[in-house]
Formats: sequence, C-alpha cells, structure tokens
Amino acid sequence: MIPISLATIFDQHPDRRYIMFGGKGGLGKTTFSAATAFYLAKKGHRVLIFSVDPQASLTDIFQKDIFGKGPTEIMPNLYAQEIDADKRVREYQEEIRQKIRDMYGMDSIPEEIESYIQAAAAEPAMEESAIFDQVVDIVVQGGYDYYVYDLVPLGHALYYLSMASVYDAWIGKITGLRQQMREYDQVAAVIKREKELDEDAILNELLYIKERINKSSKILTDKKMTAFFFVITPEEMVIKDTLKAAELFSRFDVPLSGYIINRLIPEELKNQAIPDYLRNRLAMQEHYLKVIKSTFGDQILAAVPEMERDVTGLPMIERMARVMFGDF
Amino acid sequence: MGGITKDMNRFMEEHPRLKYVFFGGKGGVGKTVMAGAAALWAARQGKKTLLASTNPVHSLSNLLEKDVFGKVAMVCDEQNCYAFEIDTKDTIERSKQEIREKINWFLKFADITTKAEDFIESATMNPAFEESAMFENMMEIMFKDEYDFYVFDTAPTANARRLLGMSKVYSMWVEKMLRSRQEARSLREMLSFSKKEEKDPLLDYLLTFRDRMGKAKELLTDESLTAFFFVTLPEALPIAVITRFINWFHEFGIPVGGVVVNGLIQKELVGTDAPEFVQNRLKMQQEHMDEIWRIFGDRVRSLVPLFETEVKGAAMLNRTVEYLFARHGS
Repeated sequence: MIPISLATIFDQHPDRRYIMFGGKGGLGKTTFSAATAFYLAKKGHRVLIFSVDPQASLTDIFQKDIFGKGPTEIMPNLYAQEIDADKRVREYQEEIRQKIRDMYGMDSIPEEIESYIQAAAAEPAMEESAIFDQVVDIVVQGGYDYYVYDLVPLGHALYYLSMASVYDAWIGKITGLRQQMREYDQVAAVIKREKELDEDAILNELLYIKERINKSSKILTDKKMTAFFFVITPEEMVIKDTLKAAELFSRFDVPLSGYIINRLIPEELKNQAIPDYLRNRLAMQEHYLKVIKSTFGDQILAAVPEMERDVTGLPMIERMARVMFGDF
Repeated sequence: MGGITKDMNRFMEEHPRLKYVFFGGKGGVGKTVMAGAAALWAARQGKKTLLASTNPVHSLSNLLEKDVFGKVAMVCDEQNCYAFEIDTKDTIERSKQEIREKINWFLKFADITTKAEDFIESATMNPAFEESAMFENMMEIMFKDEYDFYVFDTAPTANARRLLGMSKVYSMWVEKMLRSRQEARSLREMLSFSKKEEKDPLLDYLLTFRDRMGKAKELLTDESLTAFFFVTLPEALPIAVITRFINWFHEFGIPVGGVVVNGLIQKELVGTDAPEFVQNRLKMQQEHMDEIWRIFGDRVRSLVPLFETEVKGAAMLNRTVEYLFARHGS
C-alpha cells in the first residue's frame, strides 16, 4: 500500500486555500470534496464547499437540501453551497424589469419588451455566465479560510477553466473590432451618437466581467493558493483519460498537486470465497495499480479503499476523512 | 418488495412507432453500455438502427472495440446496426462556414467593407457554441431520416437536459432575431430608391432554422416517437440525480420511458461464506433497491447485473441485451 501523505500537503502548504478534485464522472470527486471540507473544518478552519454543477450532489451527500439557498451551515465551521443558475438568471431578468419600470415610470412591462427579456435569458450562454458569475462572486467576496470546489466532470471543468481565456479573447475581439470599425468612414457616418453611448456601456460591462474573471482565474492558476488533485481508479480507460486531461490542465497552467486512487478493494479478499466479478476486479486492480505506480509514481498521495456502503451523511463522511487524512 | 410490472419489451410493444431513444444518468452508471445494447436489440427487430454519441467525451469506440469517431461503422457484425461518434470539430467548422457566408452577405447588405473573419471568430468563440453545434448535429441526423431507429448516448444529465431544453430556447432566440431582421428590412426598403423587393438570405435562413427547431421540438416531445431512459446504480447519488432529472424532464414535456437499474450484485453467486465486505455491499444494494421501488415503482423497466468483467465487445453486449430486454411477470 502507498503511504498516506495527503495531510502533509495541507500542513506544508498552508497558503493553498482553493482545493479542487478533478476527474471523470462517477469516480468519487464529490465524496472526496466533502471529506476534505469536513477534515479542514474539524481542524478549526472556516470552510466553504460549493458546487457549480447543475446536477450537484452536495445536497445528497450531506443529506440536507441546500440547492439555491446560499452558503448553509452543515456543522460548526463547515458551510456548503449549491448554485442554482436558473434562479440567478431569473434575478437578472427582474433587475432589467425593475430598471425599465423605474426609467419609464411604468406599472407593468409592455408585452413586446417582456418577450424580449424572456428571449435574452434563453440565450444558450446565459446559464454558464450565471454560474460563472456566482463563482466569481464567491471567490471575490472572501470570508472563508478554505474553498473546496466540487468540480463538474472533466470536459466541463476544462471548459470552465478555459472560459477565462475565451472571454478574454472574445472581449479583445470586440474592442479591437470596434476600434477598427471607427476607421471606416461610411460606418462612422451611420452610427448615431446615442448608439455609440449604448455600445460603450456594453463594452464597459464586458471589461468589468473580464476583470472579475481574470481575478478568479488568477487564483485558480496560482500554485501558491491552489491545490488541484486528480481522482483515479485502477482501470484502463480511467488512466488513459486522466493522462489526456492532465496534459490539457497543464496547458491552462492549473498547478497539479497530485493523484488520489479511489475504490481499492482489500487484497486479502483474494483468499476468501468471493464472487467472480470481485475476483476479476482484483486481478484487474493488481495489474492497473502497477501501471498507475509506474505512470504517476511519487505524485500519488493517497489510496482509498472502497467502502462497503456509499458515503452519505456526516458519520460516513467522517470515516472517509479519516481514511484520507489519517487520524485528526 | 417491488418488482417490474412493465418491462422493456412491453414498453416497446406499447410504443410501436418509437424512433428516438436516449439514455441519461450520472457519470459512470453505464449509459453507453445500455445505449449499445438497445441499438443491437432494435437492429434485431429488423429496424435499420443508428447508435450515435453526442457526448463531448466519447466512449462508444471503446465499448465497440472499433473506431467510430467521425465515421459510421457497423456494430458487432449486425447487418442493421451502425454506430457513430459525432466529431464536433467538423460540426464547428461547418457551422463557422455557414456563419461566414451569412455574415459576408450581411456586411455587403449593410455596405460595410470590413473583413468578416474577425466577426466570425468572435461569434464562434461564444462559450456555448460547441453545445449548440452538438445539438445542430443531432437535429441533422434526425432530419436526414436514413434510419428507422436512433439511440443516443447522451452526455451526463445536465448536458442532456440542456441539449433538449435548448429547442425551446432556440425558438425564442430565433423569434427575437427574426423580429429585428424584419425591422431592419422594412427600414431598408423604406430608404431604398428602387423600392424593389430584395431577396434576403439571412431572413430565409432564420425562418428555415426556426422551422427546424420547431420540428425537432415536435419530435422530441412526442411520446409515441421519443423515450428518454434513465440509468442508475443501486447507490444513493445516482438515484438522487435521476430523481431530480425525471422532474425536470416533465417540465420540458420530454417523455420519460423509464428507469434501468445497472450493476446489481447477483445474490445467488454470493455464498454464505463470502467475506463481510461482499455481504455488506449486497445489503447496501438491497436497501437502495427498496428505495428505487419506492421512488420509481412501475417505471423500472430492467435490472441488469454486475457482470464478472467490464462490458466491452459483442459477447458482453449481447449478454447485456438479454437482461435489458428480459421478460418479467406475465
């Protein structure tokens, strides 16, 4: 077995306040996030664990409905939050309506404007922006010693990380274009004065977003402040996909702290009366553990056995935390 | 307690015109495997079947032990069964090309002599572009109508929900664009000296697009044609996820075909002398099965066991078919 050295990472790097577990779907990211948050809270730190996954499982793992309710106390020092993007979008809409009502002194919004507001909220990128916005809010606001992100599955995590550079490029394009446009006389003649003001307002809004995103992505890619762990299991496809992902993450400069192996079946079962599925899994595990060790070597920080039941509720989460971090 | 009152076969008999089948659920529950098995079954019913992956992270090639990325290939030597992983790179390139043509036309229309390329780049960098491209692609496959039966292996649930919810979103979006286009057009006609009706490809495109969206929505919400199945393991988190999902799908008016339980440890293979580790897992699964019967009741269609090896290739897929379409009760 590999010596457990996860706790030392936290002891040696007290500045790493942003904790993330990445990996394919169904490997135990949420479980590890919850157990880590539990451990840190027990050590006396104020911890916020939050999820940006629209199909989040924090509610299920803590057995408490926290969806869209803001930071909710789970136990002393431990707060959990699940972001409800739809609610956020509805809030945007209401803001717009209020502005219109105030501006024109109306009691109700005219039908054609209402349908416009509805359609704007339906734009595909809206949900993403809403989630991202909320994450930026959380990070920028502060108030906690530790932030544990319960990340979405691989593809999407990458997508969120790349979002910053995407927005950056996007805004860059828009500003560049507008400057270019000004050079065209015939266009300058067409653009009316008020339209220009309008566009400047949009541009300012974009620049504001860009600034916030830069701030949050700086934190995410700052080795001093961020600890990023990959969850793996001893299976062929998982190892392959993780290697691919690790390479992509490094392209986004996400500092990798190490790997945690999950779902290990106790080897002593080999000599007992076990069903075939388990016997084969043990054989597969033996082989792929060798592969993992030769591939990831000293970057492996912990090996976590499969529990006999799923991890939900604080007593099970505590058990998982003790397996991951030793006694505390 | 519990038991299947309406199995997959009966569901299929009650929906003889069924044509579009989706499998959704939490990551790691075996959606791809079930999609593969359903496609094989359909092909053996004499239906020309396409198994398509709309997952950004494909796993069909791995399941079929055959490269189907961006190309259609036969599944397990089954004459009627084909598989295909959508290559988003192609889709995005194609969409970019379409947008390029439209933007070029529009710039000419507006008498702006700027390079369209920058506009196109900024339009296609939109973070939601890939997802839209994927949806476009799914629609295209459906409208080509080259097959009798389609099985889609969809991305983890959140995506699937959005993918399908999107049709409503797009219609609204297009409506909005249409209105502003029509305003622009009438303004232009008012201002132009010639007063002659000009052809407007952009408007034509928007109208076509809206019709396509409308048609897709019609197909996806027609319960005689479409069924969305949810796969779960007998474990807390996957159950919680699909419980939430089934409610969401109701809101969208997307027909839920039922629930497939995967990964069941077979009791009869666990001896009384089995170690505590195994006994405990079995006990946990039984507790969750009680929960599954309680929550999903007569919507459970199949119980698929935990096989002794992972499901890959024709032999294992065929075993999965047997369980997915096993007859229960009378």
